[in-house]
Amino acid sequence: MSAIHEPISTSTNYKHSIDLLRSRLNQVLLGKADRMELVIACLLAGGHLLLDDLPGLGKTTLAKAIARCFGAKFARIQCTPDLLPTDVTGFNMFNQKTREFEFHHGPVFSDILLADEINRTTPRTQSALFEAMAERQVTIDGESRPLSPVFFVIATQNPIESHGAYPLPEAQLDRFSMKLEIGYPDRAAQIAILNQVDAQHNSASDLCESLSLDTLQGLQNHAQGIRIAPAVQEYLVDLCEATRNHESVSLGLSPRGMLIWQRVARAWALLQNRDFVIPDDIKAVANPVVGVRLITRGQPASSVIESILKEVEAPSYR
Amino acid sequence: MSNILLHASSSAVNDEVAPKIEKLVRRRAADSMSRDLKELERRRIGTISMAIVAILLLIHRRLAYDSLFVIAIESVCSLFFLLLSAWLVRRSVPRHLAGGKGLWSTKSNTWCVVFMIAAVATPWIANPIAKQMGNGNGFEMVMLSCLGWGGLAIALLSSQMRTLSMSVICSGFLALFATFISDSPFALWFSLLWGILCLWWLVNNYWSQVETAAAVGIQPARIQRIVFTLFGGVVFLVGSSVVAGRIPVIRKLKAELMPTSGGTTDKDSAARSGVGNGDALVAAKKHATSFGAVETDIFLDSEKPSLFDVFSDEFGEPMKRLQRVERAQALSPQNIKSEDGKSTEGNRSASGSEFSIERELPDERKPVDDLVGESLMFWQGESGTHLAAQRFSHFDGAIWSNDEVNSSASSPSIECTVIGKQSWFGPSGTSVQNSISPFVDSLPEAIKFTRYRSPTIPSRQGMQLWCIDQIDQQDFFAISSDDCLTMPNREHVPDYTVVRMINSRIDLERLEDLVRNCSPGKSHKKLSDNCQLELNRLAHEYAGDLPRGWQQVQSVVSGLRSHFVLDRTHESAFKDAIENSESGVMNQFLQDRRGPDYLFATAATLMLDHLGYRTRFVAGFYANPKHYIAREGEIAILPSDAHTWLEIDVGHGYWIPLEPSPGYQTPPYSASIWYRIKQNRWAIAMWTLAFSSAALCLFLLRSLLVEWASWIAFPVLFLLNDRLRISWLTWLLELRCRLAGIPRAKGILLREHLHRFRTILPSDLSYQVQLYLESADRIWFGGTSRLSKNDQAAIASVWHGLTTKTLRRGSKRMTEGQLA
Repeated sequence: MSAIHEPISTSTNYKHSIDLLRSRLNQVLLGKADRMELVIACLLAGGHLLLDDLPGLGKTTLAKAIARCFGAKFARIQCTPDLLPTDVTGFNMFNQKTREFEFHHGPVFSDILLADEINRTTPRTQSALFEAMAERQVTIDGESRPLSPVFFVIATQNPIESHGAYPLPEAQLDRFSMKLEIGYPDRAAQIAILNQVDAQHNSASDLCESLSLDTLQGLQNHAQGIRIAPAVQEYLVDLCEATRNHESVSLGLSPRGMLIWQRVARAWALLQNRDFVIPDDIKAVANPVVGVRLITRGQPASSVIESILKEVEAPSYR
Repeated sequence: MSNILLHASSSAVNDEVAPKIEKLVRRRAADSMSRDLKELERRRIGTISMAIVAILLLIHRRLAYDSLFVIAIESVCSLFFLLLSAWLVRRSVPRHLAGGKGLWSTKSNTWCVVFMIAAVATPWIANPIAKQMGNGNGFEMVMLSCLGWGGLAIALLSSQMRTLSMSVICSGFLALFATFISDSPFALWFSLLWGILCLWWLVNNYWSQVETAAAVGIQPARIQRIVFTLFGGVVFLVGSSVVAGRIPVIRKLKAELMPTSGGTTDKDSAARSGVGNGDALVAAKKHATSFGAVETDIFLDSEKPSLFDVFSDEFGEPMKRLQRVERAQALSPQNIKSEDGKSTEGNRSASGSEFSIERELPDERKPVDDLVGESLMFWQGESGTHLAAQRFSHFDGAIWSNDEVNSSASSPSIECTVIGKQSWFGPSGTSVQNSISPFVDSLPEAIKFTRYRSPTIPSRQGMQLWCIDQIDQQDFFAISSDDCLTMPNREHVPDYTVVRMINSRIDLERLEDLVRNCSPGKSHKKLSDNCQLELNRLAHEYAGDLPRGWQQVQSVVSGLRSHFVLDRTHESAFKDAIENSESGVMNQFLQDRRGPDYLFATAATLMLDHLGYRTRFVAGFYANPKHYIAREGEIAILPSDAHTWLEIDVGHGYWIPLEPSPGYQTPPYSASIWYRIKQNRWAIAMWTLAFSSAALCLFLLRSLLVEWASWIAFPVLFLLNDRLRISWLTWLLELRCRLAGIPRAKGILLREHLHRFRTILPSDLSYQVQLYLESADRIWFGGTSRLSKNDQAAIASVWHGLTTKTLRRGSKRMTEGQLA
């Protein structure tokens, strides 16, 4: 009997954990519930997040809040042109006392890494993050060092100031699961922010009590076990092919992008309390997932994605 | 700092170069693919040309005997399907080039194959229909047509070089056969054109291989290729003209082994040997140049039916009118002599020079088991043809006989024309095809006799020429006083004789002019007054207010066909009438409106006679389409196909057959499309109006009809599994959305689409819709196989609740809300 009840209780626990995470994050970033859903989906899909927005909209707050929710180790890199790869990954230093090389861990050896203004650092330093983001390990002096299994990168970039910036190459963009714009909060949310500013520190400190990294890992594993029907997979492939053949697109989705899309859709289905993916899930996460890796011929990526979603025949119950 | 600058500059350079490299790579891949496609297209043009020439060659052959209308319809249909199929393939080429779905994606592939099969199968579908219309082809011609369209299909749809060669083989085979079976010299020009095209295609496409194989390099100059092709064409032309007809083996092949020459054992089950169709066995002798009687005792004592027997078996024996003779004894001696003579002749004549309409009921005959074994002859020609064997121009109220005046008139003589090595015979002094003749076209037809016991050769009106292989003596044939072709001094036409004929069709436009101006005929005698009055009344009723002419004649014949019932077993009802009544069988026929075909013919003759047309009664055979033997391409003529009809004199010596008996096809008339449209303009207008009205009604009531249909179909839902239930409901909802003017867009999910209306729908229905969508998701995407009772109830609610009307109202409210 217990074997029968176990999945139900597990499922109930996951639902409880998700609800808890959702409510805590919404307390931190007011008036952005829809964005928070996508952020959580990205987190549960085991991906990495690129926040493309203006300064002061709560990007750092969000990263810190997530870390605190799970009691995770948080690190932050302020990307500047003189930042070196070793400043990110860590390095071996010769200890004259012990006469041995000692490894000094870089910020990537954390659970949640905030790479602030990532487009301000050089491509060389940006590429230092490649291996860490894709394989959750870094190789230093020929030695591979594993990172945290829930390693989650939140990178931010400022779309306004382009002087002295190094736009992220397509290869690196493809490693992010999604790109989000948080945007300004609405009026009511802004008033709420003003009222809560004094209590902010207290509420933030409450975040890190009930959830753990194990819970996060369990949620991530559970998300990847969500069922996806062949019809939905065919729809996903149709959409990916459409991005490659669209006249306004110069570079469509790669198979890696397609895989990420599927993972995020699964996580989204989990957030909707479903244990299977429906075509709506694919469409719901299309914009942030595809937008980060679609190279258009000048048109806004969102409008191109919109037209692709309209053109590709959606599966029906027939 | 300098390091950073270097990085920055190299990054900038990379940013500039990378897209160019990417473009280059993509362009190269596309170029490579488009180069292959261009090469394929170049070769395709050649193969399409060859296939078209081969098809034209076959059409040219068919035009000699087949209807242009049928050929045109068949060709247009096949071409339409092929072009549709080609368009589907072409549509997927850009996607294929862009690296998307394959050239033959699953969906278009299915439709392409369907249309391609339809194109190739069109000759098979068209042939039975054409046969019903009196045209049609033999098995081998249909096969050749299929081959032609198949070749064109391959040429149009092929996506590989090597399959294109298949098209060349198909068209080459077709061109070869069509040339061999064609009698026209133009066929050689077509085949020459095909040869030149083929040579040009080969030179163009395989020149490089010639160059590679050559010891010294050959310059691929265009002029050189043209010269080479022309040289090949000249060699082909000269060679074929030198060789043509000079090699005995080829002559033999052409004569006997080509499909339409009848050289296979399957050609005719009555053929005596494997090769040849019995043409050389005329009169049971080979190489007959003059004729001596060949009937033997075997034939004379044969129990096979004579022509008289055929009519007697089918219509019953003429009644012996003892009472009439007894009555006649009281009359004057002249009358006694006359009646006595006719009566005696009628009963004695084995060739049936009289035809009594007062006949006994024939014995009940068993249905035909063996078409070939029981047939009298085989007809190779249009189905529904009326083959006249006897004509009668005088009616005395009971018996049809030949007019005395006509009998004494001299029969038309026969003249011989040698065409090729064959002697063809035709009536002298008259030309069937002249400017006023109602007969047009030339139809090659043939009749082969097997168990026929009469010297008369059944033939259709408008016969221009006839021949029997290796017969060149005019005295072999004669035209009798009743305009029938006979073999004089013979007991019957010898078995296995094949008579080839060149016949004509009746042109309606010319016929109209002739009938309008034809001279009035003479009256037949002598029915009772009541009977004559009734016939006259019916004649006027059927003719209506129509002016004298073809339409009036047709109207009378149509009236008989539609108001009277053909019933050969009804003759028993006439028995009393024959014996007791003064008016005879005709009166009974007019009362009962039911009877055998000779009464129809007699009644039509008398009606038209009353309206002032000259007519005559014809007995013969009807080429029944039901007796078509597909394997042989022939129609078996059985004793049961004995039939009577009438002919009308349209002046200038032309007689036109008319078919008054329902159930028999009217003789085939030819007319231009425009003429037919003009004639049927009111019917066309009426049908168009009716169709448009019906379509309009259906369109206006479409929502209502769909709702009714869904209401009727609802109980079926309980018989389906859950997946099918959802599928049906989804289909219905999408249909309703379309009818409500709010169709679901291609990329919009049904959930999204219906979600727009949720706020407008009643809350209960909105909830049911939500339940239905969730259950549909679970079944289709969640791997669940069963629905709960609530879900099933929700499906039923949505089936009945979310109607077109509800959706339309919701859409309207939404629009109003948006405007407000």
